Amino acid sequence: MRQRLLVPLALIYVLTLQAACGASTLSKLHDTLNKTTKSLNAAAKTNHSFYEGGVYGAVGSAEAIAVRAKAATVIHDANEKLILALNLAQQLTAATFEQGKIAVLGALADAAAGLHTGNVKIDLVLQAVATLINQAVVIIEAFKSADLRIVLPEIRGWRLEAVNA
Amino acid sequence: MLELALLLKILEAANMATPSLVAIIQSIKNGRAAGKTDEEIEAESMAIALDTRAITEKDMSNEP
Repeated sequence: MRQRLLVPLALIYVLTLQAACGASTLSKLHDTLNKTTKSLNAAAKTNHSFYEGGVYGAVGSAEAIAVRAKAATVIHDANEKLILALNLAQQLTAATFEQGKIAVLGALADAAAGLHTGNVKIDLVLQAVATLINQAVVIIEAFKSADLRIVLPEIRGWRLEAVNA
Repeated sequence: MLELALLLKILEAANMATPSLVAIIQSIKNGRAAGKTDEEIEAESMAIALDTRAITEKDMSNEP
């Protein structure tokens, strides 16, 4: 009798887990994060190209270096948040996905939040990157958002060093 | 992917659409290569993020 009950129960458990978070959902998350890392990399290379191409002013001038440095700092900060999201995503399994994705979401939202420098040209590029990051946030958010307000304040207090260690 | 098209237009307008940048944007548009596992995608993402870190750390300095 017990065995006859265990089989359907196990089947229901597996099917529920698959429906809530199948392998395709995790793959979608990894693909979205991959797309975001590539976008930030493109922004970093564009910033360097803008400097070398004289878009920020004469190459070597204090003004051009300052704009390049400011944009690099903004991209660097967003990238650190993204590395945090990647570290968190690497630890996700189908069973821990629902909790873990919220942490990834918080890191991504932080990454998008600071992407502006005050320079019109690089800000257009950064705006495109922020849009891509926000798309990632929306995709992940759509999975489940009920727990966000409880978990996000805690995630915002995390330190990168602690996660990377 | 309207945003990527916009990014490409901005780069082209500024004569900054270098082959490496266009390749990155194309690869974002194309999505995951066939047969790549989640682990491979994770490793690729981390490698790219570390490359971005190296580029930005260099450009954050006050050196010309």
